[in-house]
Amino acid sequence: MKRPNTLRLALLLLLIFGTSTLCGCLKSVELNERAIVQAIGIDYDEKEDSFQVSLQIYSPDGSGGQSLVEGSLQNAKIIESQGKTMTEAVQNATLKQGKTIFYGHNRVVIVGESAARSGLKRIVSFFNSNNQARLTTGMLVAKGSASEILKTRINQGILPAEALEKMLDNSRENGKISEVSYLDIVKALENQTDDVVIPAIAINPEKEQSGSGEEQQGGPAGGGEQGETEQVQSIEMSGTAVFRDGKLAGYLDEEETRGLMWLRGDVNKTVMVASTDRIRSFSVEVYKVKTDLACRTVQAPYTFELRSHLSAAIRDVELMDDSVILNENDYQAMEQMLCRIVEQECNKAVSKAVYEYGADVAHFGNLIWQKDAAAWKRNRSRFSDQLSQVTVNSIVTANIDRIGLETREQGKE
Amino acid sequence: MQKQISVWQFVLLLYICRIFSTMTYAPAMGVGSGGVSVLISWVLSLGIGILVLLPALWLHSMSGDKNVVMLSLSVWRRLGVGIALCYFVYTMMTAVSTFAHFEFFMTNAIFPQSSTLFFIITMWIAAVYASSMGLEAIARTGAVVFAAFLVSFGFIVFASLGQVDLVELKLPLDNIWKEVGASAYEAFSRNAEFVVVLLLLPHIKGNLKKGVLAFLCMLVVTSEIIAFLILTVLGDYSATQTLPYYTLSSAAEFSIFQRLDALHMTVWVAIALVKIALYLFLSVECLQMLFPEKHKKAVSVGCCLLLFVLVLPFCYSRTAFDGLFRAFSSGIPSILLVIVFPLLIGAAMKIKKGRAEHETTKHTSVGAASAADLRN
Amino acid sequence: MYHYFKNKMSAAFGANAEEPPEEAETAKKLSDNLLDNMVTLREKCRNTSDFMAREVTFASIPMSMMAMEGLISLATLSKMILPPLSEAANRGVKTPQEMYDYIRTQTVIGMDVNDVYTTDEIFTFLMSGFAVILIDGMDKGVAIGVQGFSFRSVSEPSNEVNVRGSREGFTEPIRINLSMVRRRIKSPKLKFELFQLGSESRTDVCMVYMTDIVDPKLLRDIRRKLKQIKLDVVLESGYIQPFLEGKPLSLFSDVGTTERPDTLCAKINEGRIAVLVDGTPFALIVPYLFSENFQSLDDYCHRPYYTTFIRILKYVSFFFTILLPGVYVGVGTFHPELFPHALLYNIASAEETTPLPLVLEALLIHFIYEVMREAGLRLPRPIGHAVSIVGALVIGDAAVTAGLIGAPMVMVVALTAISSFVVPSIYEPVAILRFAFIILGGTTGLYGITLGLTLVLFNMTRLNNFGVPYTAPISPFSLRAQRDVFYRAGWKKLGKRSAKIQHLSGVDIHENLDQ
Repeated sequence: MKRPNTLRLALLLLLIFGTSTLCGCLKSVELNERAIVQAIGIDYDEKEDSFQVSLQIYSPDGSGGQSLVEGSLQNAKIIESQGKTMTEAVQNATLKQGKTIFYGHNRVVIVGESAARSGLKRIVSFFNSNNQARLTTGMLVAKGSASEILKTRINQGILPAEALEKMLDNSRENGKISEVSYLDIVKALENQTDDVVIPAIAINPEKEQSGSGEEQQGGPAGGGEQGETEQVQSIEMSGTAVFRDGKLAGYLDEEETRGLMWLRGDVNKTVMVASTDRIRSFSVEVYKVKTDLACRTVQAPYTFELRSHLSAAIRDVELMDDSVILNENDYQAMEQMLCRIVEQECNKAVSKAVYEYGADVAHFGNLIWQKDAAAWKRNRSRFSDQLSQVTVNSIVTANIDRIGLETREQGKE
Repeated sequence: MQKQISVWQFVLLLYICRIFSTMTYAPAMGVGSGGVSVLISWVLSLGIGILVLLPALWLHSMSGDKNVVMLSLSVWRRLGVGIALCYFVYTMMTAVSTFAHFEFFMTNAIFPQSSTLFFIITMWIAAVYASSMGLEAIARTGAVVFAAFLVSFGFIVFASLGQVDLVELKLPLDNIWKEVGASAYEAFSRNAEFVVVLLLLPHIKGNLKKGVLAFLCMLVVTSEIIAFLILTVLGDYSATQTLPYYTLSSAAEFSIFQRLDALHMTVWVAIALVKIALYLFLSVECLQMLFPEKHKKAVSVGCCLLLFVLVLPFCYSRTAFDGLFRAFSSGIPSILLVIVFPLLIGAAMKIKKGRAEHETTKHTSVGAASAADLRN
Repeated sequence: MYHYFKNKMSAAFGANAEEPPEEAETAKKLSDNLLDNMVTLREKCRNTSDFMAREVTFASIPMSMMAMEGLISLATLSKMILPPLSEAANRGVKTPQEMYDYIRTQTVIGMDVNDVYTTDEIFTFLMSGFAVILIDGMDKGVAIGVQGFSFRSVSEPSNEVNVRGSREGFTEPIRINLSMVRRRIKSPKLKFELFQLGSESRTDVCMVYMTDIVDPKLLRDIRRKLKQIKLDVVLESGYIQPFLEGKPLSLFSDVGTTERPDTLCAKINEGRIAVLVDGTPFALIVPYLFSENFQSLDDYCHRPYYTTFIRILKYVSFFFTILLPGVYVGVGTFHPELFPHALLYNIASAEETTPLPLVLEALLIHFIYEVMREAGLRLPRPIGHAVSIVGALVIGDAAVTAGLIGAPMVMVVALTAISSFVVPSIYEPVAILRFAFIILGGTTGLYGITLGLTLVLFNMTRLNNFGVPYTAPISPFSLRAQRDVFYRAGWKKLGKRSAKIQHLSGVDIHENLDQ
């Protein structure tokens, strides 16, 4: 056996122990020294030209070595601060509590209306330079103040931001809002033509306060204030905010939002309600949608063709009277009604978002570029002014292939 | 020289080293550019790669157990010394460049508040140890790291597929072929692995032609997938990112794995270590050929120290880093070392062989004439 | 390490490099005078109390019978040896030579009969449980095997427990171990090559191999390495293991051990060489691959799909046991964004009131675990159970309730500890690596862990003992050999062409003549 070289051994040991002195070069932050931000609210004060940042931070109300997180408690605290820029505002927030702010688990960013009108670029620039920020963070625009949304007591999940995130996911799933993440926003801002759309959220004024006698649900163990409502309903998704050149231009209501979603192909599943002359009302659940938006004319006036095919399942039907017996014609009429609704919603979305707000919300410019780069090169400088000349022809087909378990083919005699 | 690694180990090693640079690839997109030219350029680079490596294969067919430096020394010592130094400088600077890229990534993306010197020292120690293990260990480790890369790549691709938006694929507004050509040339000029082929020739067992073709095909396929995903998932946002593949991995979320950028980072660190170790090993080998056996250890130690000294300015100075990047991207080193030198050496060997045969024929005919005279 | 320092000290203090005088004397040839021989022998063993010598006369020829007390069976001696000797006179034995011939050729006095020529040989045979007969007038003696020493009976191996397969494990006497191997491979190609190691202990060491399968270069190299070993005593196979390893300082050993005769037979059938050492049930297997740590005999008795599942489980457990605490600490300290939300809340809540940083918690708890484990190994069994209960209480509930550590850390330790028992054969490097990765994770995060893991990989891949890569057939990759690495193919496929170590991809067996 070869004898080990003493010098080599000594050098190796020296290296190993020597490198241990470098450990201080990497700053470690323990978990109990981190303020885990779950939601960020950004408002802007025009008069003072300053940002107001509200951070919802995870603060376990029941904790210790046993690590149990009490789900019925809020487990969150709000820190508000101001600054000329986002960075300054966040830095001031650090001074108000003793922990290092950690954005890696931020679930949602709520941009207040004032901040949205002032422009997204300054906000985006802050998150772009932050290596902790997630690209898949959900984005919302608050109709009003973002800090009010964050301060709302929501006793669902471990903390309120979790409830907000779930609300977002649920709304997307059910075709109420478009799927918009921080990545979509930065892509749109960098793109030459695309404009940003962000789901909007608002406080529901009817259920914000209530009198005594209301059922108390989910309050802190051991009792809270008597007469406090279940606050889950006090905030709700409220359409879509449309931006032009990074600044808030206006809002789309629920129908227009869905029309926008048809255009962008964002609908996975949704519920539609309609009626025919023989059916007082019926609801269908659209469970599959195939959408294709294509450019047909690359010169002004631009025309686009939306081809959409819906597959739907009947959920409930209320017939005009008991004598009505559903037949094939009725199903066809229902399908045609669905198609008409989709066309109407698309048209509403186009007229509001594209004509009125002048925003390219459905990648019209990119579609033209994709079809004919040379034509796009000629027209791109004028395109934003020519948006009002965009026409979208919808060719929608629907197929109700699941009629449910209830027999509707036999009426009462 | 003993053939130490199989051709498939060689292919995986080359691939892993090349992937390091491909993962920092930024599709050239500015205002007016389209991403499709990038996708086309990678296909073109396959053809360029095959053409560019023909001199290497020609040299290999002439002398399978010597690399380009050994051949140059055998043709003409002085020429060989110059060529050896050129390859030494190239491999050393590639190691330095890899180092600088690695440090840039760590201090900008992962640990923005940490010390540069920490990463330099730790990686340097690791690379010196790894290169001292020898080519076999580097190749075997490369194969394992390749498997880890495949897993990580698969995860990232799978998680990103749901975010692909084909509307981002657009032709460039200006001359597409100019952009395609520029991208393909850049792919060639920055591909230091072509030089590795020339230097590792005597160490490889197996069909080299098959191996080289497999390497180029694997590279093109991977690069196409990366470019496609960057373009379609990140869109125009990728143009603002220095490390778009890293950004892509941070956008890819998969079930309970919140972010896949950590997976990307771990694989990248491993790949960086393998690449730096390989190039350090090759640079030491190039220089050792110029010295007698008793000085080889000193040469090895000297090269390791030189690496440390060279890395410092390129990690601390952005200007130096950009300058080094531009030097590689110019393509002049690659053209010289991959095409010109092998052709020169091959031609010189042919001439030398021809002269030797002529001399032999001359002696034989003189001998025969003398024998005939004697008989007469 | 011991031998290294011993040699260093000897060299430093100028130890006498000449052979000791005793060695020259023990090799002394026997004389034909019985008295002289007996005087020499008694002097040599300093009249040790277990040295039995009986002077007897048969057929008017003085003889001496010697044995070591406790090593022979007196019953065998009196039944097998004494009656034939008593008959010698009746058989017409008159001279010492005739007596010698009578004992050697005309009686079946025992199966294991050897000639002895020197005092050295006499002692060797005496210490091995032989009875030695010296005849006055002959300059050689006869050693007859009448072993009857006490030894541990064949029992189930303690470290390699199988669900199916035999319950026999090796014991201390080498002869019994050889018989267990012979019973399992009834082939004339199975060869035992016996020799002795240890200048004082003269321990029997046996190389076991299949003559038609083993690579001759490998055999020569191992034989040469074994014969070059210069030790005073060889009490365990672990003494000679470093001499067979390629890089003794490496984290992993490329020499395997086994307590099971069936495992040994399977290994030698693949062209490997086993080394059995008298006095220990642990046999050495050379060469040894990393992937073999995850194989057991049970794998070949269960169905392939289940075996594949268990194999993957073992590999995952290996990575768990070395990486889980380090990754947990690293992610918690440097990359908490990697945790899922709910998990992060739990961990953050747990760590809210604990006094120590995660890295110190992990180091402390793992250190306590190692202390408990070592104590449990060394203590007598009745107390060992109590210690494990105390350990569970100390590490578990009490520490968490007292707020010393967080509950998730206990879970991590438990999972790590249990995972380490899945692959017990590599516990040594695993224990060290675990601590190393905890320190790396706590100080440098995933970057340090990755760097460390890659360096460990380099350390493993450079092992190339006897030209066999330690990480084969994973790297260098061998497609055909994968049928028994991460998954196990059925016996129809496995049995088609049995794997030989020299046929693995990347193997280039060569003799290491410089070592």
